[in-house]
Amino acid sequence: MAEVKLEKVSKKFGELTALDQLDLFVPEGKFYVILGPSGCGKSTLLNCIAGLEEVSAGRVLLGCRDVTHRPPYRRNIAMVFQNYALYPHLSVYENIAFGLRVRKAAREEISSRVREVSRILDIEHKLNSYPRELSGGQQQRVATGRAIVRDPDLFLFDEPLSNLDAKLRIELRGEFIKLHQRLGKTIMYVTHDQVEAMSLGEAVVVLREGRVEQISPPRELYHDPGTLFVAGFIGTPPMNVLSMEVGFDGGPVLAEEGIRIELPERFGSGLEPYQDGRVYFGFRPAAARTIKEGGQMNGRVVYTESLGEETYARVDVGSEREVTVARRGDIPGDCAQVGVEIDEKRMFFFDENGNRIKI
Amino acid sequence: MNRPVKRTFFWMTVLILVCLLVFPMYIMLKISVSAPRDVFTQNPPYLVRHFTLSHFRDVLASGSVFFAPLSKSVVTALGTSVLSLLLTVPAAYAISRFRYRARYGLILVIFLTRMIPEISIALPVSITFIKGGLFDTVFGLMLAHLVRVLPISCFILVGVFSSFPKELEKQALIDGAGRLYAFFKIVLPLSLRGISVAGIFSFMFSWDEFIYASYLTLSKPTMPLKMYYYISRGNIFSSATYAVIITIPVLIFTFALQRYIRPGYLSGAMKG
Ligand SMILES: Nc1ncnc2c1ncn2[C@@H]1O[C@H](COP(=O)(O)OP(=O)(O)OP(=O)(O)O)[C@@H](O)[C@H]1O
Ligand SMILES: [Mg+2]
Repeated sequence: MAEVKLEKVSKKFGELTALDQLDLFVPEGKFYVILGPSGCGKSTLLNCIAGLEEVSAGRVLLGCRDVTHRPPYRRNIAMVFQNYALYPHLSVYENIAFGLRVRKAAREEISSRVREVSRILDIEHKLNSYPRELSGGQQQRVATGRAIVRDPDLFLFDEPLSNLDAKLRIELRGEFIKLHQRLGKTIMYVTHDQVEAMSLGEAVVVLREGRVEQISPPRELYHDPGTLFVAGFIGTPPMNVLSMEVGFDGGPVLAEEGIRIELPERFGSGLEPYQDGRVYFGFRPAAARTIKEGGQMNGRVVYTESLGEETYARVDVGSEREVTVARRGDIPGDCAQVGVEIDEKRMFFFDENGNRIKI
Repeated sequence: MNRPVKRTFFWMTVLILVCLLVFPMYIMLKISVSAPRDVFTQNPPYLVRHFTLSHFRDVLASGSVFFAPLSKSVVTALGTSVLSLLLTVPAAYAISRFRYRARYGLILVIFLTRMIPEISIALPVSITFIKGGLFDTVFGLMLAHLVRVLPISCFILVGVFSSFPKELEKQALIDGAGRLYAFFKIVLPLSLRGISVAGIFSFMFSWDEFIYASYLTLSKPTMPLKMYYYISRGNIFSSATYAVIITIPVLIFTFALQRYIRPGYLSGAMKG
């Protein structure tokens, strides 16, 4: 009984609206990642679910229970903060045992539970240490241990890995997935790292200025973004976006100060309503490539950068507009004149409000 | 000015200030261990010529004349600091959980009680105390001292609790604790240093308080009153000796405080 349902939840801090009539449903046992830029209300969302902040309006439901006005200790939720918030005056053992002691669990039970959890998290040898004596990764594990030891209905993680170095982050990421498989509990996991979001979640909730922008499985978020905001936020390097005027010259054409892109005939019907208006035209760097000549656009290579497997070329396509394009090995380097060929199946169009135009 | 000159200037100033502060204390100590002929001369020497412990021996040998004021002072000061903590710890914790504006306003209101000079309210207070049967009692004196001590103690503790990391408290709530449990198990143990600072301030205030003591006392003086008694009699050796004895715990506590007011005791709680 641990699905999470938010109904028109708002949270105001004085004038500022941190959450704006937010609706959200997380089914039981799912791993949902909350993703969004800094200050969009991710932490506030978790705090409201946990009961650390009183909502200004709306309802919070856990399972079938309305917990909107219940204090945290009557919600049975575990939460891990970004800075871990370990009790500095208590040993690792006591830190993990704290939640059980509050509930007046029997000594033997506390001992066996703490030991089991510390074995799962590989911190058995640190049980007598104090938080300040632990490395960042170990502190993180203790914080996680404290969350799982008391068998809550719901786990909330607020950027639990953002204080760790890249390698440890990837390692612990894997552990979160295993932990979820093992416990089968509902998890809501906040991050502003899109790679983390894509690799962890069964679904990603993109939050923007206190509203849900899109909820999708990670792949869909990347390949089928619902709005310009999501399209621009997900993916590295980010999607190329050009504001273009829609015209018809036999087939649909996008034009803007010297740039002219002829689109296939079949896009005509979708773009018709926007004739003589403007749309945002987007394509991912990986959906385009540089060729010797031809393609939908052409321009001069400004620089190239290598991101591991892929090499990307930054191409100046005129009027101070640059796009990032996957580069193929046989193409000349900087300052060369190249054509940009875009995969027609992976072109995106958005109206002036940033909503996707489905073609 | 270049740096060496600046430094010299700085240290000279420090030295002069230290001398100005320490010199009277030195004179007090010197008199308490000097033979009378070192003091009652035309040009008293700055150093101790004829060392003696006879003044201390006299004071200690005076029996209850010395020990009664000592114990009254100790009990009053301890009682004042304990009572003030019992009252101000919960109050300050509550105030520190208000919004910033409200917090500031409340502290101002609390300090209003300090706007009236005690020399002017000591008399009405003592009349009230006589009516209430609190005159010349230890408990009465504690109450009077609390009037002065509570605002300061509250002010210190509001600072202590306001700077307590909120996430630790939130974590305790998440772990299933109620507010009281979180306060006693997490906030209180981690604020002990700040709380002892407030307690020691209260102790030291009560320890050498003079005005209320003199208004509220008839037959059972405190240490400062006893010292004043000797001064008014012209017995400078006994008064200097009392002064030294009064100063010793203050010095000890001040050094203890210095050790306590040190950042970093919450290290390990937070990352980043
Ligand atoms: N206690 C508070 N009082 C006033 N404003 C607050 C409070 N907590 C959050 N806010 C504001 O609410 C908005 C959302 O904050 P929140 O902490 O939820 O952002 P976030 O998405 O978690 O950001 P980050 O990624 O930086 O952690 C911010 O504009 C923030 O300034
Ligand atoms: Mg946050």
